[in-house]
Amino acid sequence: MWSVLASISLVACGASSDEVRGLVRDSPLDVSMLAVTDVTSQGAYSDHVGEFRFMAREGNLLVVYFGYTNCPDLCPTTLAELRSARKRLGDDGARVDLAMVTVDPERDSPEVMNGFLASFTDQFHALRPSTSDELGDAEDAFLASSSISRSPSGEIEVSHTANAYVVDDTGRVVVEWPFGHGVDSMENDLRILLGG
Amino acid sequence: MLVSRSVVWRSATVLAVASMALTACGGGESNDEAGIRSTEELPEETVAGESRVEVTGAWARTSPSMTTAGAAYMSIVVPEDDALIDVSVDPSVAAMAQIHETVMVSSDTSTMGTTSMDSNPMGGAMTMQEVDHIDLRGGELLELKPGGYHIMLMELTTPLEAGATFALTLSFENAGDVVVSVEVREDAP
Repeated sequence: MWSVLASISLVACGASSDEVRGLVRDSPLDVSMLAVTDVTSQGAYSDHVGEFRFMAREGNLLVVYFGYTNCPDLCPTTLAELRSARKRLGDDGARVDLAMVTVDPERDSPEVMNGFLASFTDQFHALRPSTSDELGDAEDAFLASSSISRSPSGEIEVSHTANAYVVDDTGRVVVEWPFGHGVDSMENDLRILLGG
Repeated sequence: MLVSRSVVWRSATVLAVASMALTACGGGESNDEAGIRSTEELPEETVAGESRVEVTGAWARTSPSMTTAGAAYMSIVVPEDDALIDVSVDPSVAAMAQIHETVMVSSDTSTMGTTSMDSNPMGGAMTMQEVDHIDLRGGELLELKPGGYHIMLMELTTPLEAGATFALTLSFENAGDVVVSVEVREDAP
């Protein structure tokens, strides 16, 4: 079912003269075996069945982001940058999908997640871990982390790895964008990875 | 550290009364998107030439559907050392506004439920935390921008929609209250 397309041109294999600006590991992280509960109820991928596995659709790229919807700065900024980058790609923008894993499933109901993500793109996967293990396993695979704590004044503080991960259709992380890389970098890298 | 000034403001005559409602009274709106509206006319003798807080480029991102948290950003220049100590917004916009800073979380601080991988150089966690105040050096530009300082709007009363504007009041220790007009946009200006 999930055939590994070894000859895929999506991976930046050095054939292009441009370089990706994001971070590339010598040994790409393999996240294909990870699965998270999929609560997507609107948009292009609301017809999903079962859990979501971290793998782009054939010929596409999947941008994965760990965040939460009550996030005022990091998350909307990153997703807005991605939205702009996809726009700049024109038709190729449709080959870039978004998956967001909430690190705050308690407050992020499926309804909230879908509304939140729909503000940025129609092609999204709303992923809401059912257990803390499910979240932990997914984070471990991406070498990410998060924690939720309550401040002395009673406010909830969430910390999370603010990178965005680009996954190809073999389930490998081909590039990572630490927060702050910006629209230009995203556009640059996506163009290269899409083999344009 | 908070700096207390003693020279400029106290040398004026009716300052003791005016200082309670002291606002940065500019000659008019700046030609940037943000405007500074004075809420009260100052007696002439208390207005020094450079004693004016300048806030430019104030914008807030459109709030995603179903969310109640927002963020506003802007550039601030104060005429002399000061501190931003409070921020407020009308209840018709949000229940509360706070000064926040986005920071990297050091791997030393572990809280319940942390699964941080110390060995990962690229997996640093970040968080947005409230700060009590922001010190400002006179004449230096302070930027509130994505990934750094920002004004967090909590429990938005209505979604922030592109094209809308709303008023935000910045309170400075020395300069007093400054009302800023914030423009809602999808992305930075």
